[in-house]
Amino acid sequence: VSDTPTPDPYDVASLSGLYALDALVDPEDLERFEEAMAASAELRREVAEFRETAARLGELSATDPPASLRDAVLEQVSRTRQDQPILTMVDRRGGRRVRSWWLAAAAAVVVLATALGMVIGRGTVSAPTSELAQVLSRSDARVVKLSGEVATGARLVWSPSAGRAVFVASGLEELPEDRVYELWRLAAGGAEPVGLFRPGADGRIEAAFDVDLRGADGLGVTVEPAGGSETPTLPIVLSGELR
Amino acid sequence: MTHPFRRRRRTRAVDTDPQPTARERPGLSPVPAPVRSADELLVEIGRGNRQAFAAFYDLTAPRVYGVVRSVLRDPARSEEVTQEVMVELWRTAPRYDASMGSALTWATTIAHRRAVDRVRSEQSSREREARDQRERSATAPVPDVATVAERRLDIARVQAALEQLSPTQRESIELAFFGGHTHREVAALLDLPLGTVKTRIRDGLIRLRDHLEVAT
Repeated sequence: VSDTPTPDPYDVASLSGLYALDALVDPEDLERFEEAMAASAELRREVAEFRETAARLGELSATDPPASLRDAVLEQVSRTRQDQPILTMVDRRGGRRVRSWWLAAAAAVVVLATALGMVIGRGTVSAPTSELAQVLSRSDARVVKLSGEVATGARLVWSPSAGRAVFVASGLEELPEDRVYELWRLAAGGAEPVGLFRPGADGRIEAAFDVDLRGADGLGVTVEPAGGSETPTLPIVLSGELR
Repeated sequence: MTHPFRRRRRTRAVDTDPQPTARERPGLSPVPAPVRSADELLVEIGRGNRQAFAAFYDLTAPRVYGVVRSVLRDPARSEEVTQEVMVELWRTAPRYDASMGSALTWATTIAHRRAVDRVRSEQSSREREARDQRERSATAPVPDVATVAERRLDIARVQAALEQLSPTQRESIELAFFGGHTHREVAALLDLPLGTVKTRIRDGLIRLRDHLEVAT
């Protein structure tokens, strides 16, 4: 995957140490650094190594917690459900839409969130815990560039091991109230809906989806009626190749 | 949901087959328990094994609590955040993947992040404190004396690595990691330009990484 080199007047890559120690909080720095990370496997490896290094420092501060904490934790764990492991959505033997009910449910959640006026995407949470940061922390994170006229710098960062993808773009064209953007997974068998999103107030978007893109050929974005569609309505306004 | 203590058929052999190399932990039962690493336990936890989680807690809680406490300082809040972190580790274990680092690194990373999240959500009081915190947070904590020999070796190794750093590299890293300070705070505390702090931290981490032979 080729990426446009970002002009780098002040060497974004050198923020890696601050980032790994959770000391990078300036939103602009964070955004630029995560963008650089998305484009560079080397930078992701450096961050992973720095985290491992920092974890070794943690040995110096190791302190036994009070014994009562163990009981409290185990008690809470006994009534806490675990997250579901990542399941593969595409049947490798050729069948598709194995979990389309699930995709529909995910789409419904997005629609509901939109209807409730919630901002999908970049919140005010400090970004080391953002979805993008989490996907980027995977060593198998990869980046797909999407091009088209409705946005600049549109990218999908995804990780097969996480089964998660984050769509980021800026300058995303506004839509009428009754329209949404829909992201599609394109494969030999056809187009499968991945999820819906709308641009934020400043045209920025960072939207995360559970998706397995293994075996797909590309990605497409279309404009659909609110609630999304089961099959894409042409034209494809943004597209990217997966291999 | 499965019964919390039911053993799965595919439990690892070490579960039932105590290894000859099993080390005893001082102060615990004299019966040699099979020793499993945090990484091995995490695989079991990912399948919902609560017993494995209890063992994982014993291995990792001192590390998690220590990191949280070095950032938060207050013991009560540190316990609270440690509990949140441990429960988060349990909850997200099925989605853990070795590419996220070793089990211990993963636990430490989450502990540090949650601790700084907590500090930064209480930012205003923090800013008032920031100026006088230098004394307390600029150095790595002195570890408990009551540690087993193996841990002492690790500690000695990390301390030796820290001694390879220049004073500014060391102080910047310690303020950010143990103190949980932001880029700007570290710069203010050390009275250095932001760019200098950025470079010192990265150069220092590279030196530490190479000295500790960290590879991913």
